[in-house]
This record gives sequence, C-alpha cells and structure tokens, in this order.
Amino acid sequence: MDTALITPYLYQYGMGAFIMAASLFAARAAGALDLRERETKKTFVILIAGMLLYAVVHGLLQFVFPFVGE
Amino acid sequence: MQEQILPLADEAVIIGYFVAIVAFGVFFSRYARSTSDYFFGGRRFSWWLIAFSCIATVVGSYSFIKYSEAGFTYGLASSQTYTNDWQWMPVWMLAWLPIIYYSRVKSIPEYFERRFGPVARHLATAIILIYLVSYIGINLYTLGKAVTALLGWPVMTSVVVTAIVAGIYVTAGGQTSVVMTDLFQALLLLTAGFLILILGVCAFGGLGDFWSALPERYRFGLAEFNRPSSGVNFVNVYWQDAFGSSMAFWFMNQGLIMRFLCVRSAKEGRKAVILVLLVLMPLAAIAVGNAGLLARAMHEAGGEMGAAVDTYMTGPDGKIDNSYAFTAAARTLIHLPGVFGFVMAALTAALMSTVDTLINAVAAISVYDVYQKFLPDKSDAHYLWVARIISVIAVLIGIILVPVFSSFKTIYDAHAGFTAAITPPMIVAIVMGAMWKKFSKQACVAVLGLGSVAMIISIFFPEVIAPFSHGVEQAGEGLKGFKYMRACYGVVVCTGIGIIMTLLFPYRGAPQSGLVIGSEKEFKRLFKGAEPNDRPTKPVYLTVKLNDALTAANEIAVPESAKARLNADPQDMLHISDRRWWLGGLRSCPARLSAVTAEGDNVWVSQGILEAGHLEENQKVVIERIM
Repeated sequence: MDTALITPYLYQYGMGAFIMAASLFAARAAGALDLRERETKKTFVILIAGMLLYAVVHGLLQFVFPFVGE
Repeated sequence: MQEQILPLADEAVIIGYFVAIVAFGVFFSRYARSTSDYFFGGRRFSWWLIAFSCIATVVGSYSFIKYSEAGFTYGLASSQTYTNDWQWMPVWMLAWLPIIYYSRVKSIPEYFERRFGPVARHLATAIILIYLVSYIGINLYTLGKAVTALLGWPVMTSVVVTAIVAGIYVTAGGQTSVVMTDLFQALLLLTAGFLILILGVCAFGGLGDFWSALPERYRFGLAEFNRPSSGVNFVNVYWQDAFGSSMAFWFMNQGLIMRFLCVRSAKEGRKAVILVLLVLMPLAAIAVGNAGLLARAMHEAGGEMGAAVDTYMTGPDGKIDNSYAFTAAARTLIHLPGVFGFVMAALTAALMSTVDTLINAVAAISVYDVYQKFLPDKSDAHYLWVARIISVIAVLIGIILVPVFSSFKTIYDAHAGFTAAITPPMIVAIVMGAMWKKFSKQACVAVLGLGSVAMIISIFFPEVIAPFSHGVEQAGEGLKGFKYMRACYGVVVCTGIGIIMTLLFPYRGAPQSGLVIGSEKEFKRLFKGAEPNDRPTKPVYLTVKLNDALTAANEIAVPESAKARLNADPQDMLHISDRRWWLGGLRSCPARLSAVTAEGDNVWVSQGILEAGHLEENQKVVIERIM
C-alpha cells in the first residue's frame, strides 16, 4: 500500500488510540470508569464505538472512495 | 472579482433575517433576571438544544470561508479538522465535564483558584481573555471578507453592522438568548451548506459526475503527511487542530463550558456531546467545505461553470484568489431570487452564533474573575449591568483586532497561527489538573507562566520549534514561522514543565474531591450534599398548584403515587418542566423533593419555582428525578 496514504492514517489513529487508552486507564485507576455501573458502561461502549466509526469512515475516505469511478 | 449588485429579494431576505434574529434574541431577555440566568440559563436546557447550539458555535463565519478555501486548495482533506476531536472524549466526558458541572464553578479561572490558588487564577484569566477576544476578532474579520466578496461592501462596514446586531441580543438576553438563537442559526447554516451541495451536484448531473470531475489528489480524507510545508498538510493540521483548536474548544473555551453548565444534568451533557461529535460535526464538515470542492470541480471541468467560477475567484490583481471559493461557488450555482440572500444570512448566522457565545463568555470571566475581585459586595443587579457593559466592550475590542488578522496570507493561516500560539499552556494545565491528583499549584503556575514564556520565545526565535516539526520546513519569520507546529512545540514543552515540576513539588494536601478525576458517585454526593439516589426511576406528569406551605424556594411536593414512580426520597434532586418537549427546557428548573406530600394529581410548588421555571399555575408539567 502507498505509504503516503497510510502514514497519516496510522499517525492519526495510532496517536488517537494511545491518547484514548491512556485516558481510559487513568479514568479507571481514579474510579471514574466503573464498568459495573450501567451508565458508565454505556459511555465506555460509545467511546470505543465512536473511535471505530471515525476510523472506518476515514479509512473509506483515504483508501476506497478516492479510487471510485476510475 | 465582479461586484455584486444584490437583487431586491436577496436584500429583503437579509434584512428580514437581521430583524428576526434581533427580535428573537431580545424576546428571550425576559428569561435573564439574574447573573445566573444571564450566564448559565439556569441549568435547565435539554441535551438536543445544547447540541445544536454547540454546533452553531463550532461553525463560525470563518468556517465557510476557511474550509471552502482549503477544500479548493487541498481537497477533501480539509475536513480533517472536523473529524479529529474524538480522541479527547474520554478525558472530557469522564473527567472535565463532571468536574465543571458538579463543582458548580462559574468560570475556568475559578476552577484554577479552587484547585491551584489565586496566582493560577490570574494567569488563566489573562490567557483565556486573550483567546476569546482574539476569536471574536477573527470571526468578525472573516465575515467582513465574505461580505466584501459577495456585496462589495468595505470589510469594516460589514463587521460593524453584524457586531452591532449580535451585540444587541447578547447584551439584552445573555445565555438564554444565545442558546435559543443558536438553535435557529444552526439549522439555517446547515441548510444553506447542504443547499449549495445539492445545487452543485445537480449542476454536474449527479454525484458520480461531480466526483469524476474532481482530480484524484483532491479526493483523499487526509492530507499528505508533511507536504506542502506551509498550509494544510496532515501533521500541521493534526497538531494545530486536534491539540490546539479542538482541545481549546472543548476544555478552555469558557463559552462552551457555560453552554454545558446550562444543561439539566451531566448525563444530558454527555448525550449532547455525543450528538455533536458523531452526527452534527460530520454534517457541519460537509456543509462548510463542500463549496470549495464544487468550485475546484467546476474549475477543472471548465466550460460555462468553470469560466464563471474563475471570474468570481479572480482578485483585483487578476489572479485566482482561493479565499473566494465559497462565494464563487455560491454565485455560480444560485440564480433564484432570494436564495442568495438566504446563503448570506446563513453566513451571518454562522458568525453571530459563534460571536454571541464568545461575547457572553468574555462578560462572564470579566465579571466573575476580574470585576468581582475588586468590588465583591455589589448587588446581583449591579453585576448584571456590568456584564452588559462588558459585552459591548468585548465587541469593540474584537472590531479593533480585525486589521491584525487581515495581515495573514490566508484565513486558515490566521486562525491556525493564533490558536497554536495561545492555547498550549492552558490546555496542558487543564488536562494535567483534571487527570493527575499530584499536579500541584507550583507545577500549574510553572506550566502557565514558563509555558507562556516558551511560546513567546518561539515567536521571536521560530527555529526552536524545528526539533518538533516532523519534517515540516520553516516557512516564515515570527508568528508565521512554523505557525502550525508551534502547537506541538508548546504541548511538548508545557507537558515537560508540568511533569518535572510535579515530580519536584507534588501536591501533598488534603484530597481535592470534585476538582480532580474521580468516581461520579462522589461528584454527585458533593453536588447534592447527600447520598445520590441512583435507583431506577420513571417520569411523572402532574398539574402545578401554588402552595404557601412550602418554605424553601426550590422545593416541590408530589403525591405518594408519584414518589413511588419517581422512586424518590425527600431532598432528592428533581427537574420540573413544561410538558412540551420542543421547548427544550426553556420553561423548567431544578427542584428538590419536599417531605410534604401533595394531594390528587398535583405538584405543589413555591412561588420561587414558578418564577425560576417560568411556569404557571394549573399548567401540566413533567417531573424527572435527576439524582
């Protein structure tokens, strides 16, 4: 795959995943992310799903849609 | 560039918009009876209303011009700035929102005083005021630039006209006016953005034809990693926007913080931000940027449309000026009388819905963090009067700053340059303060003070940024040298200062519950002053009856059956609201459950509740338990 295309994508989602993971671990250590609570669990699922959604949409915009119609 | 003589129908639409927005905003001044109403709208609004008003704040007039310009120049990658906020949401949702909501702080500087002491508060006040007033200036400048392109008015004329209109309704109505007018303006600007997209796609004969007309290099979602050195490349945008602009917007923008203090509960605040980031931001990215892509496709396709776009984008020097991409696309695609005026109104709405928030925020910080410090014993009415005067002064300073931003090469550069230079010390101090219990006042003052010094050094000697530049070359001197990567330098240097100072001088005092990240239950306990009630609950629908037996101003009494359905105990926190959901909580207020039991299908309320919630006797209301 073209490194010019994949480098920005990996940088964005590598940094994004690192920042999210570090934040979630810190939140868990501080008691702000108690997954036994229903509301907190819902927030956690939305946070992960939102990140994945953005990653998929950006993936399509970077690797699929630009070549559609050629 | 050709001057536009506006048809009567367009003029009528624009004038109608100005009249409607002023009337709309001034109408809501009846809801601003105290400084609490004026700045925070009384903790009453629904999540969806806050979400729409947030998106109106996100999208400034600069957005249409800046992202269309970037879309024309760099393609779809210009949307990157609207799609890189999500990584901060764990910190925002789990730490910052609970802290600001439950600690009842009125301003970010107040948080700094409670967490770190008065010196940190003074430094935070100075940095935030510079940020907010500069933000007002750049919004006014970009609107002036757009109006000049569309109508041929002088920049300062359009700046002064729109500043006066926004100033009138914010000065009169405060936060409630801001929230309610922003809902209207968000819908207006999203509609206008999508209208241009639909007209453009139809002009090409379909989405496929439009996409085919766009050269391949303009179709990628992310820009090249570090080329071109000046302007939009991936790493420039990532550091300047994801770290500089986005973090500043979510963490240090007092206007946005005040918006979330208006929401009826922290849970509704989270719902609002999810709607903003997962739905409204992507829609806004399409709305503000598509005109640039359309202009590029028309320019490349040539023919009649291409010639028209080129004509409208030609500057006084006879060369294509990319900053006219939005106006050129609009002028090429819109031919129906009145529609062009509608787009102009949307552009103005984008400005006013951002500037109104900023004006209100400047007033809040100036009153709470500056004026009250010198004159602490005045009446609430006096502070409300001062807030209105400061709103006017904020607008005037914003107008004075317009010539500063007009000296930058592009609007994108101007916006990037100022956010990257101002924001790093504050955002690092906020995140470390919220997330790290050992982060001490010495560390905070060092981050704000030394961090600001480091930012100033980087303006005089931009070469200090080179080690952080990710291969981007220095493309200018002073503020314009590494203007995007200055954010990376600032974040790394400030974080380093914060870590070293915390290790040297760790916080060793009593636990600062409510001011650092912690369990939500603990936050709620502090907020409520008693054990929070998290048992399952359902809303109840009752009729309002005034009852003088209720002594506390914020108490309400409900019948036993309602208590059982609410699953509530005396002193639990409730929310009483008009049953019409579409009012978004405008007629509602927080309340506490009385130990007294009401009779029939009635809720007994005090006079205080009637006034705070703008409710009337015999009105049908819905009551929900908050905690």
